[in-house]
Amino acid sequence: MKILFVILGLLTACIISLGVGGGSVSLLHVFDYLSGRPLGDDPEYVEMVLVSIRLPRTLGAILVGTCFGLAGALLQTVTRNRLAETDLLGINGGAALGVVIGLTFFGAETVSGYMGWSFGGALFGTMLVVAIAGRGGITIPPLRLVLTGLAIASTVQGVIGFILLQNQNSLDQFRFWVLGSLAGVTLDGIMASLPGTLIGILIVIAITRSLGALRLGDDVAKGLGHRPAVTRFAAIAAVTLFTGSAIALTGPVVLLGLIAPYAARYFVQSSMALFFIVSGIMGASVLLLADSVSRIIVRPYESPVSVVVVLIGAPLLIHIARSPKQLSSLNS
Amino acid sequence: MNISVKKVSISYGRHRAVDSVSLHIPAGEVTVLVGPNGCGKSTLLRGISGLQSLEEGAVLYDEKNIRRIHGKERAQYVALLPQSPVAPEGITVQALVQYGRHPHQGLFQRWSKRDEEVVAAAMQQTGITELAARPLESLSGGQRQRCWLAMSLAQESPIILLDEPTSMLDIGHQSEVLALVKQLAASGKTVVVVLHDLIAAARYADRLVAMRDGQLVAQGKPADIVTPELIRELYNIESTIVPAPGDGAPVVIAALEPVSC
Amino acid sequence: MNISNLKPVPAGRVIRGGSFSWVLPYRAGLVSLVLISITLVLFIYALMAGETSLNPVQVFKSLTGSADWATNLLVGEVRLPRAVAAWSAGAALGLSGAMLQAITRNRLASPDILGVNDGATFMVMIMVMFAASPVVGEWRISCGGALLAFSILMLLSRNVGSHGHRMLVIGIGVSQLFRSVNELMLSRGHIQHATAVYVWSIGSFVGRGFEHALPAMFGLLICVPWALSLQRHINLFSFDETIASGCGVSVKSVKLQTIFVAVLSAGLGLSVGGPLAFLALAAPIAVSRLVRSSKVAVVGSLLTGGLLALGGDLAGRMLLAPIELPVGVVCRIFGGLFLLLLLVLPKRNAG
Repeated sequence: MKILFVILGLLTACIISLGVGGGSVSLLHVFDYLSGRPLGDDPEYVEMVLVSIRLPRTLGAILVGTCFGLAGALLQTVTRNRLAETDLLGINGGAALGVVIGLTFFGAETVSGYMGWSFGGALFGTMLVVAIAGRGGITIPPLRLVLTGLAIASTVQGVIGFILLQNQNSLDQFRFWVLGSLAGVTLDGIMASLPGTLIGILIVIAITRSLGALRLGDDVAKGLGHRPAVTRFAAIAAVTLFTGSAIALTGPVVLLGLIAPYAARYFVQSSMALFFIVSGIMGASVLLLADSVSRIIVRPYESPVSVVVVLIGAPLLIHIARSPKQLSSLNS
Repeated sequence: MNISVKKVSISYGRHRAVDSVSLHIPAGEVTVLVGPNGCGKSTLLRGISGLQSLEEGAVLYDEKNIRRIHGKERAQYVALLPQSPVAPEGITVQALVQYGRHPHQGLFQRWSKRDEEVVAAAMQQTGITELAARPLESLSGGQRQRCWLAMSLAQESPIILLDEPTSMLDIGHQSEVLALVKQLAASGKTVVVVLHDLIAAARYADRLVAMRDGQLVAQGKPADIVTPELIRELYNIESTIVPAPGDGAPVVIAALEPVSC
Repeated sequence: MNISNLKPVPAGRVIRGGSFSWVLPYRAGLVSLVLISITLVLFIYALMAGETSLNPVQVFKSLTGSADWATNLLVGEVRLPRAVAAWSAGAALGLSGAMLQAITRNRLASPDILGVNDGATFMVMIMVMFAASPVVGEWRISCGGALLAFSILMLLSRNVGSHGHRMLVIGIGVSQLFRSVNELMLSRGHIQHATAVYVWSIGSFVGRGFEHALPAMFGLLICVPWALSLQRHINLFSFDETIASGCGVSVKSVKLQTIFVAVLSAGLGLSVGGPLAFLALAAPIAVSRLVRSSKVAVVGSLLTGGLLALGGDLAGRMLLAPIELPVGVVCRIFGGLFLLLLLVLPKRNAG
C-alpha cells in the first residue's frame, strides 16, 4: 500500500519537473500534452521545450537519482552505517578526479568518453574506502569512516584544483559539471549512462537475499549458506557502476545517497528488496524535486541542483550524527 | 576535617537522585557508601565534593559551607577521584602525580620546592616511586589505581573522596588499594569511599552508610547495621551474615534462591 | 628510602626565586629554536625566489634599502609583505588548532573540519554581495563568520568535547550547509564579486600584504598571552572534566575562554589569505610528535603553523612556476594525505 504512495510521489515529481522552469511552458501544458490536446498558441515551441529540454533533464534526474539512492542503500547495508554515502566516503571525489584526468590529458569530451574515466575513478575511491574500512573488519566506527572520506575528498579536490589550474581549457568545461548540475544532460548522455546502471541493478537483484542475511552477521550468513565476501565484493562493484554512470552524466550530487535510504526506511521496515526499490525511487523523486527547485530559486539564473540537495541533506546528516540510535543501520 | 551533610537533595531533571540525606562524616575514619546501582551514592559523593550543585540543603566542611568555596580553594579542601578516570595518552606516572599540585600552583608558581616534596612523598606513600618514569598505560590495574591515589594525595587536601576505586580490580589489587585507603584515614584525613562490593565495604569501613532510591537507609558501624533485614531492604535478596574469622567483620552470603517477595 | 634523592623531575629546567617558580621545558625549547631557524631560512628564501631570482646579498641590500629601485620594490613591496602575511595567517591558525584540539580532547578538531572556515567564507560573501564598497576578507567579517559557525556547532552538539567524533561529523554537516549557501550566492552574484570571493575561498596569498597581516599580528599579541595563561588549565582537560574541576579548574570559564581565543585566532588567520585547509589540524599534531608531550603547545603550534603556511605558499609559487598554485590547493593535497595517514595509522588519533 505504502509503495503506491511512493510511486505516486515519483509521478508527481516527474510532472512538476516537466512543468517548471524557463520558457513559458506550464504544468497545464504538460497535462495537455500528455492527453493529446492542442498546445495553446505556439504548439511547436511548447513541444520543443518539453521534449528536447525538459524531458532529457527529467529522465536524467530519474537515472542519476536512482543511481545515488541505490548506491547509498547498498553502502549503508554493507557497512552497517547510516552515514555511508558515496560523497561522504570520498567515492564521488574519486570519480570526479577520473573525469578531470580524462578531460585534461586524454581529450574525453562526451559523456560516453568520460564514462570509462568516471568508472575508473569511482573504483579507485571505493578501493580506498574498502582498504581503510577493511582494516577493522567491516565494523569500523561510523563517524570515523566519514572522516576518512573527508580526507580522501579533500586530497582529491586539491589534486583536481592542481590539474585544472594548469589547464584553462578543462577548467571551462569542468566548471558546470563539478558542482553537479542537470542542465547539460542530453539523451545521448543518458543512453551512455544506461548500461552501467542496468548492470548495477541486475547485481542488486542478484545479491538482495544475501545482503538481508548479512544483516544477521557474517557467521549466521555463512551458516545459512551465503558467501559474505562474494556478496560484499558484488555490492562494491554495483556501487562503483552506479557512481561512475551517475557522475559521468551530471557530476557529483552530494548527500543524495544519505537522504534516499533514510526516507526509504520510513516506508519499508523489514523487506530488503523493497528497501532497495524504495531507496531508488526516493533518490529519483528527491533529485527531480530538487532540480525543479534549483530552476526557480535564483531566477533568472539557475543554481546547481547539488546545492539544493545539500540544503536537505546537511541537516539530515547533523540529525543522524546527533542521535546515537540513528547511526547504526543494524536494526533497520 | 569533619563533614556535615544537612538535608541534601540533588536532582537530574525530574529524577531525584539524592533525597534529603543528612550525615555526619568524622575525620580520621573511612566512611563507605553502599547501595544498589543507581541509588544515588555516586551523586551524593559528587555533592559532597562540591562538583555537583545541591538543589536543597547544605554541605559543611567543619563550619565552612561549600557553596562559598570555589575553584582552586575547593581543590585544596577536597580531592575527588572519579570512577574509571581517563588519562591522556602516553602520560608518565610522575607527570600524572604532578598534575595533583595544580590547585597550589599559579601562573608564576609553576614548580616550587614544596611541590617537589609533596609529589615525592605522595609517590612514596603509595609505593610507586620506582614506577615514576613509566607510562601509565604500561601498568597493571592496581598500580594504575595507586598512581591516581597518589595524584589525589598530592593535592594535600584534608578530605579525599573515592568513587569505586576498586571496581575493575581483582581481589589482590583490591585489598592493596583498600589497605592504602585505611592508612590515609589513620593519618587523619577524612575519607569517603563508594564501594560496590559489600564484603570489602564491611571489612574496611569504620562507618558504613547504606542508601536506596536516593534515601539514607542505615548508617553506623558495619557490625551493628549489616543484617539480613538491611540486605533485603537494599537488594531484595535473602542472605545469611557470618562473622569473618579474625576480625569478626560481617560477611554477606546471598541465598541460593535469592528472590524474596 | 630517602626522599631527597628521589626528586620527581619535571621535563625542564626549574627556575626559582622567592615565591616565583617556573619550568623551562628542554625539549619544547629546543624544538622552538629549530622551528624559528627553519622559518628564518624559509623567509630569506621566500625573498630570493621567484620569477626574478635574487641572491642573498641583493636581498640583504634591499632590506636595508640600498639596492636598486626595482629590487627594493620587488622585495619590500611584494615578497616581504606576502611572506609576512603567509606567516601570520599560518601562525594564527596553528594557535587556533592547538586550542581547539586540547579543549575538545580530539586530535581531529580543527576550524576547517568544524565548519568555521565555511562560516567565515559565508560572512565574507554576504559582505561582498551587499556592501557598497566591499573589501574581501576583512578581519572583523571573517571573525564574525567564524564565531557564528562555531556558535551553531556548539548549539547542535550540546557539550563540546564529550562525544568523540560526533562533534566533528556535525561540524562537517554545518560546513556543507554553509558551503551550499555560499554556492547559491555565488551563482546569482555579480561575476566580478564572485571571482574575488572565489579566489579568496580557495586560499591564496597573491597580493596580500602588511595591511592584511596587521590585524592578525595584532590579534596574536592578545591571543598568545591569553592562551599562555590558560595553558596550565587546558592541560588538565586531557583528563576528564571531573578531574579537571576536581583539581580546581573552573571548567566552564576555561572552556569558553579557550574556544573564544581559538575562534578569534581562526577568524584572524582566515582573514589574511582565505581558508587554508588542514593547517590548523596538522600544526599541533606535528608539534606534539616533536616535543613528545601531550601538553598543549601554544608557542610550538604557532611557530609550526607559520612555518607550514610560509612553506606552502613558497611551494605553490615554485612547484609549477611560472604558474602559481594557490596555497589553499597545496594545503588541501598535503593536508588531506596527512589526515588520511592519521586515520589509517593505528592508535594515533585520540577519538
